[in-house]
Amino acid sequence: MEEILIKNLVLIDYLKGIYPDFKVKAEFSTNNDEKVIVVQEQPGNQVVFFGDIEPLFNYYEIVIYGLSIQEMKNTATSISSLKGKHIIHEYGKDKEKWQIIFKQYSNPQAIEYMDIRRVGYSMIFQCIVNRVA
Amino acid sequence: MNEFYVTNRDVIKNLAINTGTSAVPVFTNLCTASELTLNQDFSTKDWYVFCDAIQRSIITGVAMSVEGTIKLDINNKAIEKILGDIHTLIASGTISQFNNILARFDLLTKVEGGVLEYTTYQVNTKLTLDSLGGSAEDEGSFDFTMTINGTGEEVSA
Repeated sequence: MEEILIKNLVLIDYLKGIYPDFKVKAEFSTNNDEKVIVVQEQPGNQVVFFGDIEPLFNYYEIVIYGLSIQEMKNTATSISSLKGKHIIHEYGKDKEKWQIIFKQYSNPQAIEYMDIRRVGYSMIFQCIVNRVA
Repeated sequence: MNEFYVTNRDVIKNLAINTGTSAVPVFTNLCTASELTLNQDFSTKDWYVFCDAIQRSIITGVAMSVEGTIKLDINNKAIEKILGDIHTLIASGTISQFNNILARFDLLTKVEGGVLEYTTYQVNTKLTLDSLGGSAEDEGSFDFTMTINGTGEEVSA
């Protein structure tokens, strides 16, 4: 369980670096958030090993919230271009090395939240997030 | 020890063929390879002994090849050369241009401090092609097999 939480935080930390205009975090707050990218691990079919280690990849639901659907759509397209990339990312005060491999991207769609007057864009990214050193 | 996964793009890199002459080789990358595998086709000799029915087997040899699919980028010298070889075949009926194609590729060796390290090999190959063209709406591509002739040489960077 601990490992899944850290993986989520590593992916958030990496996306923060690429999208400085957005707040990137694990949960959306209705109070004062305008431009936000929310990253949450999702269940799905996985490759599991015979060795007692974590499954190969996870699914991450990435939801972009903002005020303009055009901007959200463009940001979603930009995130989708990470497909096939293999990144080594340093995380935390100990500068731990993590690898992020972006695999397949699916189900991009616009979402509308009438109650909180926001538009959003939702997608699922299949990623390998793994501590390497 | 931590796991360190790689993508297929990380396993074999920079597949290139000689687009210069045999005396002065110039290697051009086949950048638009969308699928690439390094195959080891092992030959074996099998036999049984009289006291049981369980197979014994030894490896007697191996045919190695690089196989893949390339999307046609007609601005790429290496792809233009391969198409040129087909033109020569049609026009003059010769096949010698498909023998002894000098190819180069980087094969993943190990990881050191989070950085992947590669060994570059130069090999003589014979090139066979398949399926040039296809459905009208699809991007142009062809399948190829480069069968490695003999041992290759390691190229230092």
